[in-house]
Amino acid sequence: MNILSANLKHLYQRKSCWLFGLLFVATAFAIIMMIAGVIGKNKLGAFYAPSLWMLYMGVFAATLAMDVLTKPFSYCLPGHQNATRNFLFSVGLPLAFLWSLIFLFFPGLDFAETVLAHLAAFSLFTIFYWVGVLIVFKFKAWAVIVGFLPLMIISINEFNINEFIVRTILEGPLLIIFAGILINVSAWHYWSRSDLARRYCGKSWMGLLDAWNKEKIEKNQLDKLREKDRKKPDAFRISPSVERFFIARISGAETDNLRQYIWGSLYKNFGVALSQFRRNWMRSFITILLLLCFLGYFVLIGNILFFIPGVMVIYMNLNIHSNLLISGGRRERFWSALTLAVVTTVFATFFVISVAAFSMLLEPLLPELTIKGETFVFCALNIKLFFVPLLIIPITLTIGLILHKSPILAMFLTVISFLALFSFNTVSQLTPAVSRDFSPAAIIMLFCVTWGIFTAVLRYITMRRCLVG
Amino acid sequence: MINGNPIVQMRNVCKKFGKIQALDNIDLGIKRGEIIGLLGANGAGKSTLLRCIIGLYPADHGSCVTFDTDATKLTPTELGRIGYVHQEGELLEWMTVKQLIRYASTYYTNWNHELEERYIKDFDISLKDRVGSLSPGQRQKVAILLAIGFDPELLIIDEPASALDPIARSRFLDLLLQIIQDENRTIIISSHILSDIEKVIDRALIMRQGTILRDCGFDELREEFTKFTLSSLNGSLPAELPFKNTVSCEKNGNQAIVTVHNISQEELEAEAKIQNCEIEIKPLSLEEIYRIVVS
Repeated sequence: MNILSANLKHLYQRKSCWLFGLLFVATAFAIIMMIAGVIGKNKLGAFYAPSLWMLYMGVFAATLAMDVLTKPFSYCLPGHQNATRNFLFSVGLPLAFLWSLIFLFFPGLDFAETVLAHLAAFSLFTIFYWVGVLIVFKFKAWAVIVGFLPLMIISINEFNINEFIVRTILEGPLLIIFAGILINVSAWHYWSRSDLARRYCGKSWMGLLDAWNKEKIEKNQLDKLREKDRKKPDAFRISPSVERFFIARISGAETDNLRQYIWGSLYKNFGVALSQFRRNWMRSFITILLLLCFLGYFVLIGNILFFIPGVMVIYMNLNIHSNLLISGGRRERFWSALTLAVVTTVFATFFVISVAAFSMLLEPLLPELTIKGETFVFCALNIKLFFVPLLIIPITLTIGLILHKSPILAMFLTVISFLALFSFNTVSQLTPAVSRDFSPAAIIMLFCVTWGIFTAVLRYITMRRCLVG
Repeated sequence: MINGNPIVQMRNVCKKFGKIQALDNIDLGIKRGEIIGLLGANGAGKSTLLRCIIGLYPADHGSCVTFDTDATKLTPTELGRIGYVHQEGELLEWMTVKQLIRYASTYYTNWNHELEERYIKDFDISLKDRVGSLSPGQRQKVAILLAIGFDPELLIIDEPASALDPIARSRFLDLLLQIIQDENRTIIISSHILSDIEKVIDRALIMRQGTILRDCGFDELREEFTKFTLSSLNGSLPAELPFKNTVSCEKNGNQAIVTVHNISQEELEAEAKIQNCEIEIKPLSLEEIYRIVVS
C-alpha cells in the first residue's frame, strides 16, 4: 500500500467519517436536485452552491490531514514528506472537477462558452476548497466556519453573492482560470514545504472528529489554558475567594463525609467556571446579549435557547468514574452526582428564565429591522418554556451515563433526540409568537419520570458497576 | 510485623471484561504489615485486582472484603485508611499543585503536613505550576504525595515509578523504606521495575492471565531458585550435568551457568565436589526469578 492510499483510507476507515461522508453526500444530492430544479427557470444563482460545498470539503479534508500531521509518529514516517499535499490534492481536485461538470448543463451557452465556464467553475471550486484548507491550517478554526454556515447561507442569498459568483464564472472565465492556476500552484508549493511536518508535529490539535473525544477535549482545553497562562499568568485559575469558599465548606463538613464529598464535587465542577465568571462577568453578559438579539430576531429558532443546556451537559463529568480520591465510597459518589445534576439543572433553568425575562424587557425597546424589504421583529423568548431544561437535562445525563464508554454514540443520540424534539415543537408549540399554555400536570409527570429514570440509572451505575474506565 | 486477621480477603474472585477474563478465581489474604510485590506482564490482571480491593471494580463472582467490609460497600471511614496511586495518573488538571494538595488534604483529618513539606522539598515539586502542565514524572510525584499524605494503613501503588527519573526513583524507594518502618502499614506495589521493588517487598505475588501463579514470601522464592557457576577443575564438563530440577543450563567449555529449583546449597556443593568442579553460587534477582516462574 502506498502512503497516499494509507492516508485516503481515513475517509472510510474511521467510523466517525461516515457521518460526515453521509452529510456531504446528502448535501451534494440536495444541491444537484436544487440545480436540476432551477434549470430552465431564471434562478441560476443556485449554481454557486458547489463552491460552498467545496469550502466545507476543504475544511473537512484539512482536518483529516492535520490529524495525521500533528501525530508525532508521522513526522518520522519514511516517504511521508509530501503525503499531506498529495492527500489534499487527491481529494480536492477530483471533487472540484466533478462539480464543475454541472456547468455543462448551464442553459444558453454555446460550446466554447460551456467549456470555458466548466474550466472556470473547476478553478473557482478549487479556490474555495483551498480557502477551507487554509482556514484549518492557518487558524485551526474549523469550528468557527462550521458554526457560521447558516449565517453564510443567509448572507450569500441576502446580498446576491450567489449570482455574483455565477456571473463571474460566465463573464470572466479567463480571469478565474488564471486565479485558479495561481492558487493551485501556490497550494502545491505551500504544502510541499520541507518544514511542514516539523511545524505541526506534536502540536495541540482538536480535529473535527474529536468533538466527542472527552480525553482530547480535556487535553485541548488544558493546552489552551497553558497557552493563556503563558500570556496572562494567574488570569485563568481558580480565584482565591472561590477556593476559600469551597475549601471552608469541605473542611467544615469533616464529621459528615457525605456533605464533604458533595462540596468537593461541586468545587471540582464549578470552581473554575465560577472564578472565570467573577472575572469576566461583563464579557459573559455581552455574549448573552448578542446571542439574545440573534435569537430574538429569528423567530423560528429563538426558543432553541431552552434546549441548549440539555445538549451541553452530555459530556458533563458527574465524578462517578474517577480513581483520583477514593475517600468517597459508592454511596457518596451517588449522592454527589445527583446533587451535581440538580445544581446544574437549577442553574440552567435560572439562566434560561433570566434570559427570557431579559428578552421581555428588550422587546419593546429593540427596533424592527428591515433588510432588503424583509422586516424582522424582535420577539421575546417564551418564558413559559422554563421547564424544558428541567425535563431535558436528566434525559441527556441518562444517555451520557449509559453510553459513557461510547461518547460518539451518546452525542449522536442526544443530538438526534434534540433535533426531533425541537423540530416537532417548533412547528407546534415553541414559536415565540404562539402563546400556548402547558399542562402543569403533564409537566410534573414528565419531570418525575425523567428524574426517576435518571436517578435509577445513576444508582445502578454507582452501586453496581465498575467506577473506573 | 505481620499479624492478625487479614485486612484484605479475596475468595474465588472472578472479573470479566467482555471476553477477557481479567481475574480468574482469585483467593488471596493480605495481613497487616505485609509489603507485597505484585508482578505480572501487561494485562495479567494486576490493576484489576487492586481495583477490586478498593471496590472500584465489583467482582462478578466471589467476595472481596477489605477492612472487614465488602469492598464495594467501603465507606469513607475505611477508604480514608487506604492510599492509592493509580496508573492513569488522574488528577485535577486545572488546579495548581498547591490547590490540589490543599483540596485533597481537606478530606483527611490526619493529613501529615510535616511529611507533605518534606516530600515537596525532597522531590522538588513546584507548587505554583498548573497540574495539567506537569510532566508525567512530576504528576506521578504529586499523585504519590496525595496517596501517602494521610499516613494510610493500606497503601496501594500501581506502577509508581514508571515515569520517574532515576534520581526520583531512588528517592521514592528511600521514602518507601521510611514508610515501611511503620509496622502496621500494609503496602501493595505493582511494578514492572522489579529491581526497585525487590529492595522493599517481603511477599511476591506473580500473576498471569488473571490467575495467581505464585504467592509466597520473597525470601522463600529466593531460596527456591539457585543460580551458580560451575567450573571444571580438570578439562571440560560432562555432557550431562548431574543436577536434578535444572531450570536452565548454559555451557561454555569448562564452565556452565546453571539455575536449579528446590535444591539446597549443601547438596549443590556436595555434587560439585563429586564432579571435581568449583561452584560459585550467586543470588538470583527478582527479575530472573520472575522470568523463570512465568516461563
